[in-house]
Amino acid sequence: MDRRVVDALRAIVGPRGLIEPGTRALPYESDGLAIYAQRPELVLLPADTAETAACMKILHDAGVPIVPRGAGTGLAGGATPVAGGVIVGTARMRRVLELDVENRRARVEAGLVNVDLTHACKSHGLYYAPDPSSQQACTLGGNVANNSGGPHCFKHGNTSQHVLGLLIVQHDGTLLDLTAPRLDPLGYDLVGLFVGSEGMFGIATELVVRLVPEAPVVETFLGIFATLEAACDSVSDIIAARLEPSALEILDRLTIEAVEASVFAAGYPREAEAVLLVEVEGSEPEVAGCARAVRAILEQRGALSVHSARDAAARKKLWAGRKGAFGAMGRVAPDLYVADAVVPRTKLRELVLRTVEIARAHKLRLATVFHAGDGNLHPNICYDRRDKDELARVLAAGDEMLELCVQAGGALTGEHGVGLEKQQQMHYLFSDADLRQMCRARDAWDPARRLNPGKLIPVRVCEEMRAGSVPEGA
Amino acid sequence: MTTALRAPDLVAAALERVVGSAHVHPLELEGGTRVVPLACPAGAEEAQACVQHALEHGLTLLPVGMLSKLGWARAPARLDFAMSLRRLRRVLSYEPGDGTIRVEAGISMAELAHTVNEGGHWLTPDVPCPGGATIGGVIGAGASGFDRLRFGPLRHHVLGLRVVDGHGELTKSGGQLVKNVTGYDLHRLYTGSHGTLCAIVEASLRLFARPEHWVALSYGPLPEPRALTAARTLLALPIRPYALLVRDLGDGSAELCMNLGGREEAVQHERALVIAALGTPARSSEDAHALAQARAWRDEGQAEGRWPDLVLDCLPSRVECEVSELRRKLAETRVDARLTILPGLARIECRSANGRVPSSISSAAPAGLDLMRRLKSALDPRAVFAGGRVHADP
Repeated sequence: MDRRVVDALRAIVGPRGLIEPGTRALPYESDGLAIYAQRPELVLLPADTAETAACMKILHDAGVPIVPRGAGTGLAGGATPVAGGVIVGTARMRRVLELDVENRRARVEAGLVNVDLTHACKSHGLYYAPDPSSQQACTLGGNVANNSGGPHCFKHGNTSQHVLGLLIVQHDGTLLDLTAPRLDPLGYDLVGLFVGSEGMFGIATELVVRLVPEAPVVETFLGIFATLEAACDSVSDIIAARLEPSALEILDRLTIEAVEASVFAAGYPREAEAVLLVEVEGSEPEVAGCARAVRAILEQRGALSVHSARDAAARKKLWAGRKGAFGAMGRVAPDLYVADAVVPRTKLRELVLRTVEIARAHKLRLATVFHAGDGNLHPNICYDRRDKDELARVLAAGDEMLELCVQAGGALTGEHGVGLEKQQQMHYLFSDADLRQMCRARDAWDPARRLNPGKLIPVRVCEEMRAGSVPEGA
Repeated sequence: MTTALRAPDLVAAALERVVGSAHVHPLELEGGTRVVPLACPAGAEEAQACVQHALEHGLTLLPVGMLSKLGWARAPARLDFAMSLRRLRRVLSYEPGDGTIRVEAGISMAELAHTVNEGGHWLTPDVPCPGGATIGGVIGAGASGFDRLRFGPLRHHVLGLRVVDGHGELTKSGGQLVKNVTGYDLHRLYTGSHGTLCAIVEASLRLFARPEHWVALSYGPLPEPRALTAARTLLALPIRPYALLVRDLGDGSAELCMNLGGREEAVQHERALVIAALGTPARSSEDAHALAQARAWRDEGQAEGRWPDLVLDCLPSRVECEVSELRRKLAETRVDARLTILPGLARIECRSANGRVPSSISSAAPAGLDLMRRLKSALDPRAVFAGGRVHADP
């Protein structure tokens, strides 16, 4: 990279905010999907919006590709560097700028770790609802880029339902301030379009988010099942009965074994083929009514036992296994391929079993833990990436699972994003015309396509658009 | 394209060849000062053919439903014809066990609500006068419902859309899934774009459980500040009303109204909390009577397609100040207006007697206008969809 550009950037962010290739840059070569790795030319860690904007202006003038990055916990390669590109990370922007308890909202910097926002407002009886499994590490800015979810998004919705406003540094370093308190967008819904754009529209440096009051009563159920099918059927029954719990999560046998052998042990019986966690929240009568109905369904579906807890400590213990599931899988194999697909909730049983069959056919170990209430499957394949043959089988199995889910009326991703991982499978779901329309929207935000290039939209579609008629104004 | 070839009768004749002569009618706009042809295609492909015709001949069109929300946005700067999707009325996929539905854009909100009620679901948004509104029109207008306090805005529940885009292609985003982050959420952009970017032909929506029991409560007449203070008290309670509004009774007094719904034991619990906080209500009703009362509040002032002349949003903590400030400005400018205040949403709707609120009171230009222009230009480069609706140019 041109030294004059590097020096100009260093003058903005200082020595703490700039990492040149070398040992310190190694963690930035990939995100949570380590099978894709690329050395970045430079890593920039600006301290605030002004520094981000100044850096973006210089990079714009120099024509350098940019990959925005939060904590790098993404699982689809969305933060993988691009050749000749620079990482712009938000890790140093971690402040809660304003905690507005009365209006139940907070203004925060994008690098704030997800769970730290809940810690900051907990004493006021409020919390931030989206709770990805990586919430101890992932940033709110990263959550915005991926429209992240989590177990409690079943009731409360993904990140997009909690973002009230954004301060965005655009491709050329100019600021777009969309933080005015408005119930509906004045004009087009730019915030709604930005959330989930996977770092291709700009860098959000500040967020205004909605805080949710803690429910008066919360009850967590743990259903133990002799078959995965019965756990899936229980979930479909709960949805069909129009019950509205706040979370519905399933863990299969291999996951239970890994959890129980780890520091996240939650007391799940190791002989169970599946456990189903159900959380119900609301007023006492709401919880009591829903709880009765949930317990009846679990028992009707042959649950071996049903445990429940209202006490916070006991509930935390029931959840410990689910929250620590991904960490615990490290005991099974050195690497974990966390697939992410969505299916109609009426087809859970059939499709979960088909993913098990696909893994078996490829001689792979599958540990399934997923957001059953949303139909959001996470078939997790345990493998060792040093084994090239196994890696090839993992990718082939993942592809088959995605194709299966799409054919059943599902989608490629429920919360991880498309990134690099699923770019080529976008054709399973979208036509060329659909993808061209996405390209056009992207061109309005970033005409030179320097922000996170080569992600989400298959490159062929973008290139064809370039070769053909580029839309006016793009 | 010459002006002569854009003459309404020639445009109408060409559209008749696309959708049939029985499905092209004159449409009077702006109090009858402007008449354009209204084409009503039978399906998505005919809608696409109408857009392609417009592209081919340099015409500008406005997609509409039943025209109930035409006045929600500015009149189009230029318009050669309107295209109503009201003949696209099929339910394409409704799995009650999944809690989602996919429908054609022209189905009326009333018919859609009836369909999902039969399946044990509740349709949000619960819009005023649902028999005269289509789901496509509601989405195009970004119209959230009377039940917004409980369920949030419409844009959170539109799971996916299929549209005829500005290039004349049928394209989609999202899907019929409650959770899905595959690709950009273009349906979020289209929702509330007032027909300036595309014509919506299909929509997928998330559904909720149909309430078993309803309660409607009202307090008043009260002085408006007291009604607002009482509303603040209610909002601090652990209740989740479907609606909470302060109605302007027109004589300086107001009525605080609320609508509770859900499983019976939960609704009765909420009702008891409200009465413990505010005392016995002036009026109280349950079940069918409560639902009828709620619908009367919902439709009030909008039965003739009359939408607020001014909508003010603020932080919830600022509602009382903003109401007071607006009252002062209205008095200064001698505008006779009624306010509907939605304290839980921090929204103030103003309806003046003569339909005019001085521009000094109206709100400012949107942030991101340049970006909106670029989006309009990228997605609709030949301006086939009438612009100037959401602001002077996009």
